[in-house]
Amino acid sequence: MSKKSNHVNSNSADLDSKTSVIIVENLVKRYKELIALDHFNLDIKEGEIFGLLGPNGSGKTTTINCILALLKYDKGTIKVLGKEMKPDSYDLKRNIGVVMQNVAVFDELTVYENIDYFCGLYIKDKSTKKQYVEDAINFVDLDKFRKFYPKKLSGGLLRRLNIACGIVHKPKLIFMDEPTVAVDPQSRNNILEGIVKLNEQGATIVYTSHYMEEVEQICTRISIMDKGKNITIGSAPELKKMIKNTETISIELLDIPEAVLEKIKNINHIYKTEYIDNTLKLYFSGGRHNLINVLDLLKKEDLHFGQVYSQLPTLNDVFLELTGKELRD
Amino acid sequence: MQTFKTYFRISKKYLQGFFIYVPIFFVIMMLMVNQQTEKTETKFSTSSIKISIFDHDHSTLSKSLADYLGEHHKLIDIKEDMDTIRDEIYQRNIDYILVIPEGYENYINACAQSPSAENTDSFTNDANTTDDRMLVTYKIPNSRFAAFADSQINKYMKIYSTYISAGADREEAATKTISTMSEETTVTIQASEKEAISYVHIFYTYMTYILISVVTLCISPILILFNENKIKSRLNVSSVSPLKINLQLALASLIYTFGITLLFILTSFVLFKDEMVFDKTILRIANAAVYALICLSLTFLLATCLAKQNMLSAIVNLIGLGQSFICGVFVDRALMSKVVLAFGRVFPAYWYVNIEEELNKYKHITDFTDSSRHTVIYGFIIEILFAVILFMIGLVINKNKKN
Repeated sequence: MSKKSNHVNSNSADLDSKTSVIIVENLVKRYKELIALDHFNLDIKEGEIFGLLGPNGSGKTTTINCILALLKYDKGTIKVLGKEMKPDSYDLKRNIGVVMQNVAVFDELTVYENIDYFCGLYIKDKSTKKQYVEDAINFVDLDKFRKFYPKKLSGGLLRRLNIACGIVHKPKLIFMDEPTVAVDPQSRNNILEGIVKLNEQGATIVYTSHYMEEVEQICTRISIMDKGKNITIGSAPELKKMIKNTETISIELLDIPEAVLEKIKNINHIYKTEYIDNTLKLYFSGGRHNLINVLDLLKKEDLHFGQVYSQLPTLNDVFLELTGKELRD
Repeated sequence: MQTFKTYFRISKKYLQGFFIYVPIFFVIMMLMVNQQTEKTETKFSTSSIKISIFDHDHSTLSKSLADYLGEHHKLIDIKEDMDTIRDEIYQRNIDYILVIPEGYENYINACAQSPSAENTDSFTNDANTTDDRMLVTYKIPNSRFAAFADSQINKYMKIYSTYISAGADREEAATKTISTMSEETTVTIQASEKEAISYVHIFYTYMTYILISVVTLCISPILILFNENKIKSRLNVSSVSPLKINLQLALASLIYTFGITLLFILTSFVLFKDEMVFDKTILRIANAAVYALICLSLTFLLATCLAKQNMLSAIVNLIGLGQSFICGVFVDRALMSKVVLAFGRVFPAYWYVNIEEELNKYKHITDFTDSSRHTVIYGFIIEILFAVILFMIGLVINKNKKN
């Protein structure tokens, strides 16, 4: 993942000069009384790994289904690769790959036959198709398993087959809907590396997940969604700058006198303190050397403490501050 | 034609329905054919047995009787002593031995001319009589050949006695008896109802059950796979229109269904080629083809309604067995109540069997009565309607599911 940082740290301002691959304006989708998407807007640029982050039911999959014309929507416009997306936009679909959340392959076909079938839905020329299938098998490193049936594959290998089926026709735009659900950490890392590699090969990727670490790790820009709305968009550092919290320090303490707690509250940049289950949590907004200042004070008061942690804000903190609830609620 | 090719690749994994039902069907058919060739008697012929005659009378009657028996049976010379006779009978070398006692002709003539004297109904000694003047016979106990010879000799003697009592002289009576005995009777075997059954008819009737089971169990699982939401979503985002994919699936299913049907039809030609009458066979094939379409429509409907394959086998067995019992596939319609048969009308097999029954009644289509013709045409129309209605229901459910 050495090149990952280049993606994540790419300047958002640079993106303005790039072509828009997906433009969603004022998208409204209702399921009877429930509003799934509420005047949703999106502008995804060429070459991005764009993350859609939000809790279950926030509208991520509905957004993708509307963009892919799998769902009819009530209001708004969607343009993909410069053209309006319709169910019969088959020329557009030729340039789009989709990796479904659920593994969508035929158990009755081998790894090779599955990839070959889904490739054949896009590529007519036999020799090109053969080459593309081989490329996809090598890309997901399933060469040893080409004659295996899906039921014989582990969860991680199955996910890789699912990805291969979605990207075998070398699309310009790839949608990945939670491709790492129920995958072991090692396989997850392989999949994330593969996604970055696809992006380096020129594909624009729309990535949905409720795993904020993954999104933070690979996405150039992130849209945080809740209740069908786009709460904010930006790179991970930009999003983190939006919130008050810059650091959280946790200290294990058997007991803390009230007087000492008052002194701690007066340390610069602390805006909130909590003492729960023998752990003192201190929330800082800005400032430097916060940990040293806290430890100096505890030493001066002759208080013995156990383990000490310092945590930088996560996207969950961003989400918590913006919506008042946890991402994984 | 990517989907078309993949359909047949997947179909190899769902052949268990074929391999379960088809061998059972063919084994039953082979057994039926064997029974037909081994047991059914269609010709009559008189039997010839091995017989020895010891003539101690040397009269006109004894000679003419020996000549008559020699003409119809194989005469074998053996030594006339009790040990030899017993050995030959015991070893089954001879079926019947006849001893004509000295003075037999005189005795018979006297009996015939004087009705009040002796009983002339029996001419041979049996187990209970030892009359020296009567014919003596040695035979294999309970042998049908011996019974046949007894019957022939008694008949001969009765006719001879009748001519003598009517006033004929010995020569004339002997000549006329042989002449009368030589008159052959034409024997026509009246085939029993069971023997009259056509095995082609049984084959094509029983095919109703096999065809619906095999077609639905082989094809529905493939269509269910392509109907699964996750696969359907992937197909919907591809650059091939759903219409093209569905057309390929429909074409593959049609070819598969008619392939299975053709296999059964060809088998009927192999097994019953002598019994196949051209004009009836054409109608039988048409009936099977239309019924195959019904099976395909039902397959489409089941694949649309069922999200998973686990219920499929149970439903197919219920429909297949149910309609086979109600519509007269497994049970002769003559044995079924009118109420059951009336209920059977709501199943396609009823109309298929209706046509088949009508075809079985006549040797050629040209022999059809107006009523038969009407039954066949009406049956075809109802069958086509079944195919269309089942398909339409499937389409409506499919559309509702999409919405």
